[in-house]
Amino acid sequence: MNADDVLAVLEAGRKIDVILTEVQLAGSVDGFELARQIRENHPNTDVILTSGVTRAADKAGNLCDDGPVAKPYQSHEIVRRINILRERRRRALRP
Amino acid sequence: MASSEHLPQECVTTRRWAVLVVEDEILVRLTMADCLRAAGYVVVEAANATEALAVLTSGELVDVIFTDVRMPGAMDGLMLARWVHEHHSRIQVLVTSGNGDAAVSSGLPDDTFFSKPYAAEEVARRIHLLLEDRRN
Repeated sequence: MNADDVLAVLEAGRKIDVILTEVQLAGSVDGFELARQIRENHPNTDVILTSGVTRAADKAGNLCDDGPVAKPYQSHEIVRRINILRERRRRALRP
Repeated sequence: MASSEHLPQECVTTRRWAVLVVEDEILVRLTMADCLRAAGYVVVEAANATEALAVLTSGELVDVIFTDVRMPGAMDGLMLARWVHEHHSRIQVLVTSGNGDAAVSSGLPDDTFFSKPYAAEEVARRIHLLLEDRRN
């Protein structure tokens, strides 16, 4: 799946809570640009960026609230991040 | 009625049937995958035959493959079906295409072919029947 696929899914109106994306993607749009577009056009969707490239991971800190997830990652770390993001959304919705 | 939680662990089988959906159109693939997940299957998605082969050679358990015929890459869905038949004969393959002639030219049995557009529920029903036959 590349960035175009992700955007097609979102544009189709599918409700996606969290997207985990690699920084380096096939195609013209990389993970950074994808995260930027999602923030701008789909503010209800959170993005977790991951990369095996340290420099890329550092840059991702600006686009991913809790910083990037470096590869190789453990799946439980991703689950933990997702839970944090969901809890943050829930709190934001509370009156 | 006995509950599985009272059985010795080695007597309990918890593995759900797994379906590999191979389709390059993301929204078509997601619709099919969502339907199968709702039906209780483990679903693995692949955007082309190369990704499907990567899944199969990784050791991921797959019981049924539902694949489109026309996909980008060197291998189409019919070639994938033949490869699976040769290397993983236990896995059953269902094929779909917008071109009805694909079924005729492939020599596939009628009940393994779905013309596009298909109803995801109909595919899920066929998969259910296939797997029930295997269980029995």
